[in-house]
Amino acid sequence: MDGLKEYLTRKDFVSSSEVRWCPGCGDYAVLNSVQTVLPQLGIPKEKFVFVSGIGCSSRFPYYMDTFGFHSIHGRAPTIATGIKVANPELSVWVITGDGDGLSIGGNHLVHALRRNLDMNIILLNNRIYGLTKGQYSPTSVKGQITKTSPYGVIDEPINPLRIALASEATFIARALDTDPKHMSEVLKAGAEHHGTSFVEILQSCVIFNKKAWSEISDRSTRENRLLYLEQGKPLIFGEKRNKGIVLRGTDPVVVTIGEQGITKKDLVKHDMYREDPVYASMLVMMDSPDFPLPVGVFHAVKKPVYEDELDAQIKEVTALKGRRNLQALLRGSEYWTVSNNGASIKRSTGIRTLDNDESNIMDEQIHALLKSTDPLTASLKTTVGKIFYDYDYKRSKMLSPRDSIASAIAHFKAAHIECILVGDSKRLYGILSERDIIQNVVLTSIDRDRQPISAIMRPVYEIMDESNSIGDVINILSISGHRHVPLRLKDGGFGLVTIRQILRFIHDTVEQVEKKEMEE
Amino acid sequence: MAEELQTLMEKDSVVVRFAGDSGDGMQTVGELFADASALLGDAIVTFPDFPSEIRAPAGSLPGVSGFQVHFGAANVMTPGDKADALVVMNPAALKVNLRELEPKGLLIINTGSFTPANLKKALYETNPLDDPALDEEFRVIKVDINALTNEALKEMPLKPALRARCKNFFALGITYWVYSRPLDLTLEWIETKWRDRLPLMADANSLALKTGYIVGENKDIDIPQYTVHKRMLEDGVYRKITGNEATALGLIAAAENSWRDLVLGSYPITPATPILETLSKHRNFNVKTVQAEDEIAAIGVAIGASFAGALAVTTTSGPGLCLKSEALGLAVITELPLVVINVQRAGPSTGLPTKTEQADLLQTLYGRNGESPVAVLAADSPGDCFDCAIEASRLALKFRTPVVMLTDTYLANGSEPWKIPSVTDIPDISVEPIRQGEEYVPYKRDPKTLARRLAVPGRPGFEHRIGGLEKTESGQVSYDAENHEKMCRLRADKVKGIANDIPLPALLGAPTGRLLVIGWGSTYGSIRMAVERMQSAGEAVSFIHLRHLNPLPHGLGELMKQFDTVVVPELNLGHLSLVLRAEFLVDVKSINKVQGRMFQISELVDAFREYL
Ligand SMILES: Cc1ncc(C[n+]2csc(CCOP(=O)(O)OP(=O)(O)O)c2C)c(N)n1
Ligand code: SF4
Ligand SMILES: [Mg+2]
Repeated sequence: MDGLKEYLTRKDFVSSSEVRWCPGCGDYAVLNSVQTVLPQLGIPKEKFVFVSGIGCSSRFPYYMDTFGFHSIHGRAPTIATGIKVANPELSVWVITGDGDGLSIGGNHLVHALRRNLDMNIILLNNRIYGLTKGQYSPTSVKGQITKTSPYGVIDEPINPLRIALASEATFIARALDTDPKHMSEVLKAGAEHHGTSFVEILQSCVIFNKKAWSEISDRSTRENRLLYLEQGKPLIFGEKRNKGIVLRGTDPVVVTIGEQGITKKDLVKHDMYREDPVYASMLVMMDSPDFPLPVGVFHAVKKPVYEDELDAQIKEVTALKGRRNLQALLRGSEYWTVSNNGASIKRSTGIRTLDNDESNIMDEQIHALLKSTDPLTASLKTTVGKIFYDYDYKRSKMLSPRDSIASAIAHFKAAHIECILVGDSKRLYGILSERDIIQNVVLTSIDRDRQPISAIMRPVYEIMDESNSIGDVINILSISGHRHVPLRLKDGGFGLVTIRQILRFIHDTVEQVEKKEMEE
Repeated sequence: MAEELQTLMEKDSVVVRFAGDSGDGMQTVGELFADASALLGDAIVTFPDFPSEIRAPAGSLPGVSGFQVHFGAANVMTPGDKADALVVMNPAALKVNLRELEPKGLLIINTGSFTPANLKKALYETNPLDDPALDEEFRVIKVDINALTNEALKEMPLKPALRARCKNFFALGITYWVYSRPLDLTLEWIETKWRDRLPLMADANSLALKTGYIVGENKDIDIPQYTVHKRMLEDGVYRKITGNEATALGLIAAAENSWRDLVLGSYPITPATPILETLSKHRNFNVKTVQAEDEIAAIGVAIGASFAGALAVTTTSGPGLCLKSEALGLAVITELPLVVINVQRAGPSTGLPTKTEQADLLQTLYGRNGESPVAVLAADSPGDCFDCAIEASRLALKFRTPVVMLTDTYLANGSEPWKIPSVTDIPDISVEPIRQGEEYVPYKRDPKTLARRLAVPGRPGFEHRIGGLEKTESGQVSYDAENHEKMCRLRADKVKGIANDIPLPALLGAPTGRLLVIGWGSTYGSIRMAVERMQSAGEAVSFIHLRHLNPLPHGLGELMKQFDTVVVPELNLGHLSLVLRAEFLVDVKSINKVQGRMFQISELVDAFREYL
């Protein structure tokens, strides 16, 4: 924690750059509030980073004596995301305007909010493009006269908080540049929220949109036009604090306490912690002339935070795959070694998975084809003992693992069987099929006279007994990849259940099922 | 088996092309064929040629998917011009690929798919198999792979539709027999892929493969067999790698060797997406990938991460680079290290999104507002993408500048054996961090490199602001005219000065003479093979291939002046040639192609000869 002075003060955050906003601009108040709030957060000064886009409001970082990045129009949330992802320990603040954040950068705002990184976004809404000298913005009201709407704006305005709510924002608030004390409280609550906090500040542009918020910020009308949200308190407003909001069905309605038997108790109680967005959504929709404009914290819920999840994944994957080993990564699982001037080539045991779209689609189709069920499933419960003797069964001769491969081949020919059990009177060691012979003898040049059966036999996965079901056998067949499963017979001998037996049984069952269906 | 070969023919290198419907699994068998060849010690270069719609109607012409493998001698450097052998699984594949087959080339046709319905889908009016010209022009082997596969698997409890899924392995089996490749690796691959999940498919595919191999031996069908003379690769440990894989690994290695975390901001776009996909697997290397909402956000994330001290990267293709231009300018003026990878594809606009082209060079060099120089370099082979990514990162970090690395579809998807480097041979590219207590002036420069000092957020005492507005050396916003010119010149000189840090690439051939060929990027293999062919015929051609395109290496201009003619082959309508003309006042000739595919060697040889 070196660098953390015991007490930081507002002054520690004032940079040497001369502030260049127009006198009377609402941005000053926001700067002031932020500089007031930061020392209260217990965060070392060097951890703060202010990021902005382009606009009058976006000059903000230059005036903060913190790390800062004045970027390009609309893109501040993306840069902030990169900063926070690279170093989650930083306290990242995005300053944006109504044009910067909702027009050119609207998409980034939506996605930053839904990712929910632990950062703070302050949108200074003056309902105008200030920096470019007075064109209408996405929050300009219908009919507003600006330089690019000499006959009045015809675009429908958007509500920043509604966008935030629809973007799954976890903290939504609104404050007023003319009420710095309240603004500071709101900003502090936002900073303390774990997740992205989104605060809309109603900011006045004294040059190009003087009247934007005059109705609600005017001292004479303010009390009737604003509804201060306080956690756990009823929704009360008005000069005489006698107006409130009740719910009729699902609709909010303005009432007067004392009239028609209405008491404070009937009013809606503010609860910003409600998980569902319905209540916040109702508040967000409230606006003049029918309702007072709510200010304060609307919605504050806990949801997973992006960089925490990312960190958790890094830890999980590291636990699973092990600490980084660059050499192993470069080598991959499938590699080969050329040595002795190219005379010898040895390959690794790993097998590469092919990850092309086509093979993935093929896999998908194969799975779909296999999944379609048939009436056979029930018959899979039949016991092996039952079918073994019904379908021409094979007792197996047992060869010793030390016998030569050649003798096994001779035995295959003589006995007209496809599979031999390998073992002695006490134990079964393995199983040898014709397929093993093809794979290991025909396609390679193994010495069949000198090599023992044990060199090419496959291990026995499991020995069934007569009480096992057909399903069990199919299961073993598929796990082992064998075409035969050894069976310990009731009389103590060994037999082989073959794929062919199973298939014939299935075939017969299908025939029976079909016959039955026809009869019905 | 091997004792009974009768029609054995010998070859130095061979090009095999598999083609079928995109549902036929041609990419899979192509890759496996290449793997099997690699393990024989062959040099290999592969080129997948897939359709842009992966679910185009089955049997249709747009649905044809191909995979070409060139294998054999060690100087195999391209996927080859025309194929020596073509395996086609259906009429559409025949129609699309026949012109890619050498005269007298081996043509293995799955006759089972030549049904009236499929012929119609391929827009054939008559069955091409009935045309005697086909047999005259090519060595045609007709095999009903559909029926034979079905027959081979008839004992298996599989629906016919599933049996049909194995026919690609049957075709592969035949091809293995033709070129005497061992089956074991492929059998093992099948086991690994299917045994646990769907053992029946493991059995069925292995059986199809083996039966295909045995059909090759069958005397009833006369299939020729070839041995390919192999020349061994030099000793070492190898793997097969695509350009995109190599790029991803290069970035991880660069992060490791610069002692930084890798942060990638990216938005999916063909053919760059696999870099994002690959990197997102390696969280255990502290790789932080962010799939952003668009390309602008992607570079924004990277720029933010760079400011915060990560090795910051964004990957994209041409249309995405357009979107990134404004932010790239921000990285230029803030002088932050940033690696941008542009996997070029054929444009403009969406163009031919799955095909290759080199037509983003001018956009990369000049496509931004203001005086906005960035360093640009290009990779020349799939494996080279690894080194190129490290070099891009090195320059970005050392000079605090955005660096754009150009690859393209051809490199991204193509593969070759890659000699795995030892990590101890990978250069350390870390830069000295700022020292606590150091006096910090944000735009004060190292007198040699002109690079500014960086101080990352979190370092106490170094609080400062950067941004897109022009700054003075001390980091104050400045609208001063002279300051702006000074800063523009400094940034330009800094990027120019990178030339002091890079070598002139090796020249292939004599240092003076009739013809100098200058190449860049993925055309390396084709140009080199063409030049070598001509040089061995005694023709006076020299060749230099550029890694760095901005700045150009010192000595290039002088070299160009030593030749009667300088020619630049490029997969565009003349980008590098324009730059070289402007830079060196030399009447550079241009060989151009924008067909979405690579130069053929013979095509280049012919074009070069025009200037001799
Ligand atoms: C790419 C781009 N387009 C347009 C502009 C011009 N421009 C700068 S600020 C701005 C509007 C700013 O409005 P707002 O975000 O509401 O900020 P304010 O100035 O009102 O605080 C515009 C259009 C720009 N700088 N960059
Ligand atoms: S133009 Fe408006 S928003 Fe911009 S500084 Fe002046 S008063 Fe503020
Ligand atoms: Mg505004």
